[in-house]
Amino acid sequence: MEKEKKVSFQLLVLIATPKLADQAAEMFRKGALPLQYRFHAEGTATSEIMDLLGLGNIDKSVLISMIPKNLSEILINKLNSELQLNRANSGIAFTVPLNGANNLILRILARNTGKELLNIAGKEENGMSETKYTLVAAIVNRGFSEEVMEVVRAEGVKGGTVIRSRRIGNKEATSFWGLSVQDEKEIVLILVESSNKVNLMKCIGEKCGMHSEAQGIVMSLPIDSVAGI
Amino acid sequence: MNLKLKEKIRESLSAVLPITGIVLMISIFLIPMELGSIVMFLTGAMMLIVGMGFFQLGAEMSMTPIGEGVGVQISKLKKLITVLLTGFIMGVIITISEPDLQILANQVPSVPNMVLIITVALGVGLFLALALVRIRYKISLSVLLIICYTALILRSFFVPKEFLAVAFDSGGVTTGPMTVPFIMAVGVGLASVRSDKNSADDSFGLVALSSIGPILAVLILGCFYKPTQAAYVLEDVETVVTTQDVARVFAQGLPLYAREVLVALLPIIVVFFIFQMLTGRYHKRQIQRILIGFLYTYIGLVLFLCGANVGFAPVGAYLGKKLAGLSFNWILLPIGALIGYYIVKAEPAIQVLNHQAETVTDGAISVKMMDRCMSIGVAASVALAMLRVLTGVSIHWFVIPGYFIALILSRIVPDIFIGIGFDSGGVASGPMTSTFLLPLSIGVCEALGGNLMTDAFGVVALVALTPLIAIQLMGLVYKRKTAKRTQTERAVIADDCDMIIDLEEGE
Repeated sequence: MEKEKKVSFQLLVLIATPKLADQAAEMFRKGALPLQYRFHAEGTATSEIMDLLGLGNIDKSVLISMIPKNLSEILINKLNSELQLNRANSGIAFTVPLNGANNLILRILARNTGKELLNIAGKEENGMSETKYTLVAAIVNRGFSEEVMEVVRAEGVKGGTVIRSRRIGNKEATSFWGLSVQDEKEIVLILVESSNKVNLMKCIGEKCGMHSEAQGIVMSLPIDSVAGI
Repeated sequence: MNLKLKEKIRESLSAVLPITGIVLMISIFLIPMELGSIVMFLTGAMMLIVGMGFFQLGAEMSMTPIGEGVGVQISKLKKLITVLLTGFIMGVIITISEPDLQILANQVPSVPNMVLIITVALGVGLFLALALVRIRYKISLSVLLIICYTALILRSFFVPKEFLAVAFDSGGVTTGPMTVPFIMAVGVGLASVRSDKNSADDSFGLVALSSIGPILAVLILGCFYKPTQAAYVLEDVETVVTTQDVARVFAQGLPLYAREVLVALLPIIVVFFIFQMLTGRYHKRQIQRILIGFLYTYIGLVLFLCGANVGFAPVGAYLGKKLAGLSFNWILLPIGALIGYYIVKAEPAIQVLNHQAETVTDGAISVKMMDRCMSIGVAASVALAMLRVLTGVSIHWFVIPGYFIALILSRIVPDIFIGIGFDSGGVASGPMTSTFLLPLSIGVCEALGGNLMTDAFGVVALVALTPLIAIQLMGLVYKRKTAKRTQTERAVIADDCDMIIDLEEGE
């Protein structure tokens, strides 16, 4: 157990077109990454007009996988080169640090994860970005993701991902804190340069915050490595 | 190029091209056709492709968000009576406007059109209300379906056999391209507010119950009216010589469908505005998008219906007649199966169902699997329908064992497959079935001199029946696979697996 504790772990997130996500899932499977979860999301429109014309949001799949930290760079690079994430509209991948886990997860990861992946490392070109990135997540009422995108687009952000979800907070949140009665939400995920983070979150807060119809809340998460941006 | 546009174009092409290719092949190798009619057919196919693309995009932008919104709001209604009323009124309004229902009414000349339309609409209304109550009180879909279908079958013994085929057809016919995306989205909306383990299963099943209403309605009407021969007039292939003729024929058809689709779409737009006034659910941008979506749906359906009715229907009837005239007319069975396999892909509502299934199950039931199942199911049903026309066997012999198998399966497959399966029946039998398969079997029937009412009709009923079995069989396979997997998984789990390790502490 002691040894296992010292290895640090990360959550690898890939947001890509369903086809690329299939490829990645196959790659993970070959590389013996045992824990993979997949769900559905939507890529945001590239412009307001495209959104209105209904030509904006395309289907995206999100693939998350827990991995040991020593694999994260290799995997990000590999995803970048094999799925050609640097092409426009293909997808992005990033890792988030994990600081706690169920024993089973750790055991699985410590035993048999990604040995084959280690072998193929090294030769890949470095697809990782040098700049520091942060993941900004805005949770707004359903149907308002485009409002958020409009705000961040003005600040130079190219695109984001929308996950449909439902709030399951308690009564206190609605009555005391004034969180909206509407339970159906959209989570907008945007990868931004860390230097731009605060500014961007402020902008979202001003235009789509609790005082607006969108009734949004905003937060940010640290990102270790990233590809495809 | 815009990715979304590319995706939609690819989808519509892969939906329409296969069936176009098959008809071309038949015309080259078996039944020679005049160049004029082939040009008509190809023009129709082009309209189908463009129309399909617009319709898909439009349904996604308008029908889906509205349906979901309505579903969410319905789930918030406190009183049972308001839920019932909302379901009932919605069912009636969207059914009255369904273009396919007008066609059905014309096919049953012995019943006054207005009487038939209103009865069917009331039937759909009642059953949609029932479907909502079912979800609310968590009544098993399988049990409800068994009760309803048993009642139907029993009832069916007491009506003149001329009504039988049309009655079962009506179930498939009334749940057309307008109602399906809307009702399905209502289901998803209803389910999205809950997080219990049944919520995904309950997103489906609304269409299934809604298609029982019309069958029952026509069966009941069958007691009060004397059957007469159907007044279905087959349109002959227009003799076109020049490109101008082609344009003229389509131009004549276009205003007709432009009006028909408008009549069909208006009630839903009205429902949308009333809903918006009552709840204020959508904000400005969403309303703009929904309106543009309505426009797309409109353009798409007009093009689609015009292409299918003007370009496809005459060719279907012609092929039927000529194939039946061949000395080896048993070839209708394999050809029917082949046509069935590919024609279902061109049904506009099918993609909506497939995508819904994939999204709701997070990919566990993929579009590909759904596609294959539907194709196999419809292939079987068209072959059976051809067999029926050739031999004149009563539809009872197919419908009773068919539903029996489907209902038995519904007791053993996972719940979600029951909902998707029974929904798929109503979805598979859309405008392509009534504009191509129905004329095809009417053509065969006329050539053989059979009874139109009993032999030719019923093809829609079969198309609405076999996918239920095919999809539930897929459910059975799925169940066995997952059962095996959990068994092996169980074996390795150690005792301390649930212990939580805090990685920060270890540093």
